Amino acid sequence: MKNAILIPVAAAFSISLCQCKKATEIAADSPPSDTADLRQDPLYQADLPLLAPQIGDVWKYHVTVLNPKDARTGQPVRAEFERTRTYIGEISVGDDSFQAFEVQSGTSPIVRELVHITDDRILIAGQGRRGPNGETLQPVLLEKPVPFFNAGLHGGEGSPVTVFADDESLWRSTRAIGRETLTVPAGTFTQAVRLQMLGQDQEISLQRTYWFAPGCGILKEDTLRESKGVTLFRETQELTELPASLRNRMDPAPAMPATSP
Amino acid sequence: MVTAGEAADASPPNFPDQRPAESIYDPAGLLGAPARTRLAENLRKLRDTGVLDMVVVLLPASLQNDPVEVATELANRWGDSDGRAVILYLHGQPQSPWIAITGRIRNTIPSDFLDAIALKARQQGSRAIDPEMAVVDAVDTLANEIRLLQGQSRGGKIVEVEKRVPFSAKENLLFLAKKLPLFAAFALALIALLAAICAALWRAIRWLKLSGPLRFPGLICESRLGAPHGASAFSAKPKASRTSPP
Repeated sequence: MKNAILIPVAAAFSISLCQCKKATEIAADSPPSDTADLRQDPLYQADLPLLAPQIGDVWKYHVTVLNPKDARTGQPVRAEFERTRTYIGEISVGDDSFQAFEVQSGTSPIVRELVHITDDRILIAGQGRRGPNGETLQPVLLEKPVPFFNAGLHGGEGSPVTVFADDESLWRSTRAIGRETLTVPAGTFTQAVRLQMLGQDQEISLQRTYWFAPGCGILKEDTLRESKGVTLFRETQELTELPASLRNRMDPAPAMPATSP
Repeated sequence: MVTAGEAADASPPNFPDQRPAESIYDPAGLLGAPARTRLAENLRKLRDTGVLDMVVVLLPASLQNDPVEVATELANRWGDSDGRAVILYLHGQPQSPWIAITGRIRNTIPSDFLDAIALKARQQGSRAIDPEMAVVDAVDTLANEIRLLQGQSRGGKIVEVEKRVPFSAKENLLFLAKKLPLFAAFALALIALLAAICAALWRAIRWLKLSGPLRFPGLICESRLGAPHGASAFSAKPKASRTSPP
């Protein structure tokens, strides 16, 4: 008789587990691939390859962080430091492999950014910390990689909202504002794409504006974190030095803008 | 530095008829020189590229009139493009900045969209901690949203204002529809669990009944017609009363 009670329970739970697995698979589906029309677009062709870094390439940034109200003093706090982003090639985390960058900000522990880079697409896959033996500690892998940049992106285009939690409290969406000329300490880039990533992490909202130059990488980032309408911090980083291997993709424009008459 | 108290007592300024230099009207010098230069350059680019013709107004005083009306009047007075806007920042006013968008852009982009964009830019600006950030954030937000709309319309896409949380009701329904099999499975599991609990209870009750103390069955008395003990009840009564009258 005991079996008679356990059988329906076991059956029901096995059905629900199957459904869970199915839901995960649906969420992990990649968006439909670009059409042939996009591949014929001159802008798309000009953007290729989006990023072809070599192991050891280093991007250097000047970072400014502003905390409008320090928790201890109640006064605004401003900090400036250098950040480096170093490409370390392909690494394995668990059963998956990723291309990785190591990000060193001041004296903070080194963070590994895990991405998927193809000729025409860059996806953010997760992050972790570099361990003492070169391993990746505490990796946080996204169930579905978030689009960071696609070749041929025009102003007004955006990617679908990526949701990480059933209650919609964790999500990201990316949209392209447009292409423009941007001058940073590393030089002037005439095909910089201004993008915005909006998102939510529980009660903390994210608004990140970043400029990406195809072939060169991230030129500038302005990140704003808020909680219930109150600014937690604001961080701005600007590229000060581009890896030598990528300077051939840089525009021949001068480092400083020409003075207007 | 101008305090909020001073701002409240100040009288409204007389605005010039001519458009201010560099598209910035800042008689009290609330913006520092580097910030002013950066902002002016940004405003010039946005105007030259046809995004939006913006003028930034910073005042150390509150106004007698409705700030939106003042901003609208200034936009009409100083603007000469199809799309023109004034960002009006009043120092010491937590609701600052106020934004007015006028011109033919109101015929090409629905007013609801423009109002939503202006509100978003205003909210962004009002969270800043100083006048410089307030106007820079408002200008950037306004320009980003207008550029996004222009890009969407060029691409032949449905123009849509990005909401704070970009989920439409339709997307929510689709989300729920995708989860429907999951909900059904959990409902099934719940029903099965309840059935199992009921079955267990039923078995427990039966077991309790069977394992109770043994006793003789109770006596059942049934009246039987014609039985000796029923004689008094059913015996024939004298029929004196039923005799027929004489």
